[in-house]
Amino acid sequence: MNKNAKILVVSNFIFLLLLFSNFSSSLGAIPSWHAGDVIDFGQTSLLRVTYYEGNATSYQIMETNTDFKVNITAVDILNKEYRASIIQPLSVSSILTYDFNYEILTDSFLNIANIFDVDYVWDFEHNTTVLKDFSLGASYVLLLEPEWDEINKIMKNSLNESTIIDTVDDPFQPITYNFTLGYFLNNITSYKIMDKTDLVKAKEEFRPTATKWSLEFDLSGIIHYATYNSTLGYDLFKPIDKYLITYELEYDKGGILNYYQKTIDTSTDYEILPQDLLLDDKIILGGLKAFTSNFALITIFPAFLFISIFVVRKRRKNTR
Amino acid sequence: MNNRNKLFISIYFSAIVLILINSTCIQGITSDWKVGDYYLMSSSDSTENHIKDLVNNIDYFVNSALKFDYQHNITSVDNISKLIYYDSQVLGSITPQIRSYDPEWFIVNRLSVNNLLNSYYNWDYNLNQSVLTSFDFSFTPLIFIEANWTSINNHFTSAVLNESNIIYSLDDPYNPSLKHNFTFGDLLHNATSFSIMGVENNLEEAKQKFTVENHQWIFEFDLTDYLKNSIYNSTSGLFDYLPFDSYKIQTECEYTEGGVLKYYLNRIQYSHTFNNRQYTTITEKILSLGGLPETEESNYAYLLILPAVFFLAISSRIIEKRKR
Repeated sequence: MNKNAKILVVSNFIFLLLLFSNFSSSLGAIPSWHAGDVIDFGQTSLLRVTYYEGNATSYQIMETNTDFKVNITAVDILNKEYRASIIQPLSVSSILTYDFNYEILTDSFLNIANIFDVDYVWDFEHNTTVLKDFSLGASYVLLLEPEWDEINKIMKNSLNESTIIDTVDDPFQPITYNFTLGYFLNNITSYKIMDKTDLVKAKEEFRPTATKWSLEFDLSGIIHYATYNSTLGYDLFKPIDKYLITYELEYDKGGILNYYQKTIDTSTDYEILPQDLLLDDKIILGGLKAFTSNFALITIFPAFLFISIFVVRKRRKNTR
Repeated sequence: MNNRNKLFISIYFSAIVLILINSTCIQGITSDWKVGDYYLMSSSDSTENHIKDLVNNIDYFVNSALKFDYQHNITSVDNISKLIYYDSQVLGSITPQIRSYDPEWFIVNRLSVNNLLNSYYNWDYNLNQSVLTSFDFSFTPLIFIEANWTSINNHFTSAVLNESNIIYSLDDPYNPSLKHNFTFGDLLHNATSFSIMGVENNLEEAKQKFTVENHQWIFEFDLTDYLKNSIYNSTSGLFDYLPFDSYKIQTECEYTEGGVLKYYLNRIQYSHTFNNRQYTTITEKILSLGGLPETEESNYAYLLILPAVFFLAISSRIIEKRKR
C-alpha cells in the first residue's frame, strides 16, 4: 500500500469513528447491554456480632455468598424496560419486567431522604435533642440507563445544606427544632462524600461523566442508644462508641453495576455485655470469582515484592 | 565453684527431682484443676454449605459460625461422689454446673459402645440389599476429669474398638425371623479408609497407641464408598440410596495431663451430586481450652498466598536459570 492509500484508509476510519460517536450521542444514553446477554454477578452478605465479657469473646457469624446471572431476554429502549430471568444455583426465576430508567436510582435508591434517614429525639434527662438513629437507605439497581450527566446533576443539586432532614418538637415549649443536612454533617464525627471531607468540594466530584459514588459517615460518640428507665418513665441515652457507615456504588460506562458495597461497623459499650456489630453487603460484576481474584492480587503483590527483593539481594551477594 | 561443689549440687538436684517424680508416682493421680481455678473454654459450632450448579457453573455458599467463650470457675469438689461444682459464665449470665469427674462415669455415659458406634442400616428395595445410611463417632467430653487414663484407654481397646461389636441389627423385610447383623469389623472393612491414632487401616497396630498414659484420641473414617445418601423418590414411592462423592468423619479429643479438656473436634464433611448440582456440607464442633486455635479468615488467606508464593518462587527460579 502506498502512502496516499494509507492516509485515505486512516482518514476514512477516523471519519467513520466520528460518525458513529456522533450518532450514538444524538440518540442519548444507549445501554451497553442487550437482549441475549447473560451477565454474571457475585453477591456476598456478612453479619458478625461479637460480644465481650472480660477475657471472653463470643461471636455469631452468618455469611451468604452467591453467584447469579441476569439473562436478558428483551430490551425496550422507548419505555426503558427490560425483561430478564435471574439464574441462581438453586433456582431460575420466571422472566419478569424491570425498569432501567435513571430516575429509579435518583428517586429511590440515591434519594436524599433515603441517604440521610436520621432520627433526632428529645432527651428528657438532659433536656436537649439527641441523635438516636441513622440508617443509610441508599441501595442499587443492577442495570441502568447510562444518563450519568442527569444522575450527577440531581445528586449535586439535592445535596443542599439547608434541606431539613428531621424535626423535633420541644415537649415544654411551642418550638420545633429543624435539623438540616448542614447541621447533621457539621455535628457528626466526620464524613466523606465522594472521598471529600467538605460538602462544597464533594459536590464538585459529581461530574457529568462520574459513574462512581461513595459515602462515609462516622457517627462515633454522636449517635446514641436508648435504655428505658421505668422509674423515671423515659429513655436514657448513652453514646455508641463506634458507628461507621460506608456506601459505594459503581457502574461501567454502559450502565452495568460494577460494584456495590454497604457496611455498618459499630461498637456499643452496653453495661451488661459490650458488643460489636458488622454488616457487609457486596455485589461485584463477574461473579464470586471476581472477589477471589481481587483478593489474590492483593496477596500476590506483597509476595512478589518479597521474592523480588530476595532475588535481588541474593544476586548482589553472588556478584560480590 | 569447685568441681566437688558442682557435683554435690547436681546430685542434690537429681535427688530432689527423683523424690518429686516418685511422689507423683505414689500419688498416682494428680489432677491439675482445683477449687478456685478459672478456665476459659471456647465452644464453636460451624456449618458450611456449598451448592455448585454444574450446568451454569455458579456457586452458592452459606456459612454460619457460633462461638461462645465459657468462663468456668471451680467452686467446690466432692471427692467422695467425684463431683465437681463450677460456675459457667457466658454472655452475661452465670449458670452453676454439677458434673462428674469420674472416668468410669465418662466411660459408661459418654463413651459407651452404643453411643460411639451409633449407626443405621436400611433396606434398599431397589437393589434388595442392606445399606449403611448413618454413622457418627461423636461424644460429649467432660471439661474436667480425674487424670486417670488407664481405664479410658482400656475401654477403647477392649470394648469400643472390637471388630465383633454389633453396630446394627436389621430385620430382613421378606423373612421376619432373619436378622442381618452388622459389626464394627464390617464397617472398617468396607470403609474407603480409616485412621485411628494416626495409624491408617490397621486396627491392631492402632490399638498399641492406647497406652496407659495416653490422653489424646484421634479417629478418622472415610465412608465414601460405603455410606449411602437416602433420597425419597416420589415416583417409585421408595427411597433411592445414592452414593456420596465423599463422606468423612473426624473425631479428636485431648486432655491436659492433669485432666482439663484441651481440645475436642468432631467434623463431618460430605458431598453428593444430584440433578446437576453438587452439594457439600461441613459441620464442625470444636471445644478448645483458652480460645480457638486459629480463625477461618487466616486459613483462607494462607491458602491463597501459598500458591502465589510457589508460583513466584518457581518463575524467579526459571528466570535465574535462563539468565545462566
